Formats: sequence, structure tokens, C-alpha cells
Amino acid sequence: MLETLRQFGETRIADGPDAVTLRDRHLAHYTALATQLHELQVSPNEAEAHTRLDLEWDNLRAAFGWALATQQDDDADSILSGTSLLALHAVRCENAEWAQRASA
Amino acid sequence: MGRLCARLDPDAVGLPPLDVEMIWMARANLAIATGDIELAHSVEAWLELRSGEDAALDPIIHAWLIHHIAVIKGFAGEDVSVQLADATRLASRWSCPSLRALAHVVIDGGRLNWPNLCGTSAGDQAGDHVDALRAAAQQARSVGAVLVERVTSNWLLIPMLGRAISDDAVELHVTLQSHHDARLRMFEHAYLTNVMPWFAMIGLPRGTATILGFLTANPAVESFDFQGGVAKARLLITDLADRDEFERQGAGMDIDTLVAYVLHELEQIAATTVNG
Repeated sequence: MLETLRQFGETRIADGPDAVTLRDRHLAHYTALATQLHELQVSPNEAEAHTRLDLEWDNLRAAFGWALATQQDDDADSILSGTSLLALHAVRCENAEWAQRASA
Repeated sequence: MGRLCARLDPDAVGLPPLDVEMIWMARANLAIATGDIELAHSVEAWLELRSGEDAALDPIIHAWLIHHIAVIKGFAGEDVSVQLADATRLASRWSCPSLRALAHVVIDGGRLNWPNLCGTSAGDQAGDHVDALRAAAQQARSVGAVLVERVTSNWLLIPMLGRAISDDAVELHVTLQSHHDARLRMFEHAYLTNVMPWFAMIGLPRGTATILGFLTANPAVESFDFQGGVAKARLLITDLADRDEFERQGAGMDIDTLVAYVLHELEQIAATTVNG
């Protein structure tokens, strides 16, 4: 259900006149979240970091992809570095593929 | 491996600090995957140098570096008291559950497995360290840090493999099943290398021969102390009449089939132990 809604939203954004602005705002939000996730990971509330990573993984992937596509390298780096150790602990191997894409 | 290590160049110009730390972590991963003590020493030297600087290391990376150095040095018979002291400091400074679990893996895993390499530890009881490791695994599991939980479970295996009694079959089964469920291939390979002699030591050399056949047919899956495990296994199955046949069977298996085979053998041993 949530994935279907997310895909619908993506289609609407892609078709709309403000697609770039909306994607940039989405990127800014998830870049900030990635940094927060790492701060949460090294805190007593580490479990919350894992819960939010699970919930927001698809959005983080989409934001990271947009950052790479539009050469917003600092944001791509922030998402990668903010999530890499959390993804490592959660055994989310896809994060390593992100690193490869970023360094390609 | 030298070429791979050279590509992981922490001195490359313009790297942000976190990237430099990640490169050292990758080097430590490489060292632990291959048991390379010289590489571990170089990581240790960098860590010592880095610890004298003002800017703090990322605590998670710091914990992993200490862990990896302790593992490689401990298995090589070198003193790990510095790593235990570092882990103790880290655990007291940070309240992140998986970081504290990792620190306790070093502290209690080290004292459990290499009491003579850990400095003074008067009054230690092995059971206390086992309990502390179990608590660390539980702590990591409760926050979703699957990797830390699996690493902790590996440390609990070491004394079991050393004492080689069939009563441990249930626990060995649980560990392998969990590695398999988490799709941690590297852990499965390391587990198989380490558990391989155990079967012969409890009187079931066909299990050893079958795993040996798989591992020697798949050299790409070499893991920590692979050669040592293979040499020990070969010695233990010298008198097994059908060892070539079992090795052939193992060589013909893929990793999923072999894991299923080992799990089945462990179930059989556990059932026999309970009933016998």
C-alpha cells in the first residue's frame, strides 16, 4: 500500500511543472535525515535509528539517486556517510552498491 | 591482496576525515578476512597515532577497529590488553547499545578465549564472560544491529569448538541457521572452516570430510585461518575409509546444500545426545 502510494506520488512529481523543486526539497529533507540517523545510531536511541532506516529506505534511495543524477555530490556523500554504518549493522548490502555508484 | 590494499589509500589527497576512517576500516576488514597480522599492526599503529589527535574518531568505526585488531592479535597469540583497555574506555564513554555490545565482545570474548593475553584479570570466571557475551548479543539484537549480534555469536563458538562435545550441537545449529537466515555468506564460510574439525573430534569424520571437500573445491571462499582449518581437518580424517567419497560429495555441493547438510547432521547429533 505504502509503496503503491509512493510510486503514485513519484509519477505525479515527474509529470508536474515543479518536479525539480520538489525533488530538491525531498533531497534536502533526506540529506538532513541521514545525518540525524547517524547521530541517533551512536545514542542510547539506536533502535529508533534502525526503525527509521527501515521505514525511509526507499526514500533515501530515491534522494541518493537524485543527488547523483543532478551532481549534488555533497548531498550524495552526506546520505551515504550518514547511513553507511547503520546499513552495515543492519546487513543492508545495497548501501555498498550506492558507494560504488558514487565513486564511479 | 597487496593491490587491493594499495587501492585503499588513506593518504589520497583531499579525502574527508570520515572517508579516511572508512578506508582504515576497510583495511581492517581485509586483515580480519585474511588473518594478515602485519596489516593489523599497521591499523593498530594508525589508531594509536589517531587517538593522540584532538578530533574524535567515529565511535562505531573505532569499536570495529579495536575488535578486528583484537581478533587478529589474539589468534596470533599476541597481547591484547591495549585493545581491552580501549574497549573499556569506549564502552564507558558511549551509551549506544551496539557499540557497547562490540566493546564487551572484545573485553569478555578476549578474557574468555585468551586469558593469558589480556593482562591482569584476577578472579575471572569463564561462565561470567559467556553470560556477558550472551547479554551483548541480546543487546545488539534488541536494537536491530544484526551484524553485531552475529559477530558476538561467533565469539561464543570458540570455546565450544575447542572442547568438542556433542552437547554443543544444538547451539552450533542455532548459530549456523542464524548466519544462513541473515544471508551472511562470509560468516557461513568462516563457520564451516571452524566447525569442520569439530565433527571428527566428536567421532563423526564424514562431516569433516564433506566440508573439507566443499572448501577445497571452492578456494574463492577462503576465510580466516582457512589453511590451518584444512590442515587440521586432513589430519583428523586420515583413518576414515571413505574419505575420498565424502570429499567428492562435498565438492559437488553448493553453499546452500552444504549448509542444509551440516544443519541436518547437527540435528541428528543433538537428537542422539538427548536420547542417549
